Amino acid sequence: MDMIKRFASVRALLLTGLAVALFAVIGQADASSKRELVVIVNKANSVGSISRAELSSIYLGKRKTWATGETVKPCDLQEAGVDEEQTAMGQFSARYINKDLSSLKNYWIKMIFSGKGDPPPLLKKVEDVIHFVSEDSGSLGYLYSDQVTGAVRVVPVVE
Amino acid sequence: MLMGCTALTRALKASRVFMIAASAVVATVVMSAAFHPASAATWGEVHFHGYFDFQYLHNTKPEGPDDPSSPPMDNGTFDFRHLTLLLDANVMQELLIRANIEFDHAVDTELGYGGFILEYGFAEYMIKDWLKLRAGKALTPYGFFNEIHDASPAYLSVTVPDSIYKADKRGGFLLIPKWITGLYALGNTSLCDGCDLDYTVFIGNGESVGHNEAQFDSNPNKAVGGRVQLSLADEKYQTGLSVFYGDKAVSETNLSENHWGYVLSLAYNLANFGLKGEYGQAKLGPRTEYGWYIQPSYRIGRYTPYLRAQSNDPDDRWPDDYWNTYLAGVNIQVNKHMFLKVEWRENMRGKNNNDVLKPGNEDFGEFKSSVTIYF
Repeated sequence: MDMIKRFASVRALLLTGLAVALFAVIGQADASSKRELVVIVNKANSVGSISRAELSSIYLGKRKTWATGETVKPCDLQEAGVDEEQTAMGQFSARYINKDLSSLKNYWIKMIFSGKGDPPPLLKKVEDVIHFVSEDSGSLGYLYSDQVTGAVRVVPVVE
Repeated sequence: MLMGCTALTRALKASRVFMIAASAVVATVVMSAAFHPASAATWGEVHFHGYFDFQYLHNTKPEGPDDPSSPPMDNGTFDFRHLTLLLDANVMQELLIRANIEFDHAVDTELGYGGFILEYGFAEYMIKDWLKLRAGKALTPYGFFNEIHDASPAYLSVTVPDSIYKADKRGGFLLIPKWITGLYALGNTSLCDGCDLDYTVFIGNGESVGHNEAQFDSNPNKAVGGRVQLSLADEKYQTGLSVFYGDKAVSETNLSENHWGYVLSLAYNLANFGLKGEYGQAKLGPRTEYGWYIQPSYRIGRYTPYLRAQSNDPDDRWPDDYWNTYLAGVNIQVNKHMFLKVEWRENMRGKNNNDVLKPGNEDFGEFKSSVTIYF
């Protein structure tokens, strides 16, 4: 009888732990989803807005030039030590490319090994993204709105 | 019907003359771009990729006592299947060179084993997103898998569907040749939000025997073909049609056996569920071959179990020469760069299949597994 009670209390403890962990994960997801993702371009880029379809084409390597003919150079941001799907890259991919990161990775494996292209460079830090975009007039990136500096320009996305 | 065929032949000949003229123009453009004075590519403009594919295979009984490709039934075999290196060099913004070098079965030229293969090597010049010109040797664009037929990180199963892509190892002939050396025009365009169309057309050397197809064309006609693919709703639905028309030198005296084929491709991707299917038909001289497969899969985190049914009829003139395979497997993504694949295959063959070397060996089971690492 004691044994059963002990098991019951252990199970209760485990369930409570699981519930706490679950809420923590949901809370974290909720916190990051509240931050607004914005698309940034070089300050010399005159593009007024960009559509979701254009963003998707650029980030899937299907579109390689701006309307001016200049080469588009997109970059990705994936901070280390964060659940991949909750990173800026995970959220950007889900929102604008309509793929989870696993599907996106599989897409690029096919593209690479069929000789069709390379994925955008994967940058680990916000500063790297700002530097990448501010250095080249054809560059494109994304950040959370509170990470943007005056070195780059935010361009609205037309859904 | 006969008049229709004659008209078709004339049209094809006329289109070939046009394509040959066009190819000369394309070659001139590519070469002139290649001779643009530019400095050597820096490391930032060169990308390296590659993969390693190591397999373990075990048959329940041999495919045939004389078949050297059949793994032994008693203790199985390890197969160092691929070590492949890819190089992409962006020579200029619009011009790049890509190469794929494969070491097959731990090649050993001293002993004469394995293969050292330039799977593709080409220069590509981008005029617009919808028009790129390519010159060199490339994997023929057909179906979902030919351009990645050995790149095991890029597909779920241990090997690509044999009924379409390895029909020559199923008692038949290749529906469409694996490689074409020649000139390509390719591109893609967006038709609407989430809808994309991509195409490739090519003209190249015909198939040969005893000659290097990447060096010269031994038969009197050029090979032509292409593929068009349409994806809808951000690749939720994908469909494609690939076609090939050419001649194959099948012997010293017969350099131009007519060869044509097509493959129709369909895929449906919904979140973790995937469904792929393809149907192909080809004709080589008097032989007509058919192949198809259907493959559902469902991703659960790192694990993606899959099933596949595939069938090949190597020659419609012969009864009981089919090769059907039913397989079940699981693809496990061990980490960011590594996959483990395990699958079981049940093979059923008709008694007249060319690969059945001994009566009683028609049906056999296979265990296949592989470790694939890519970068």
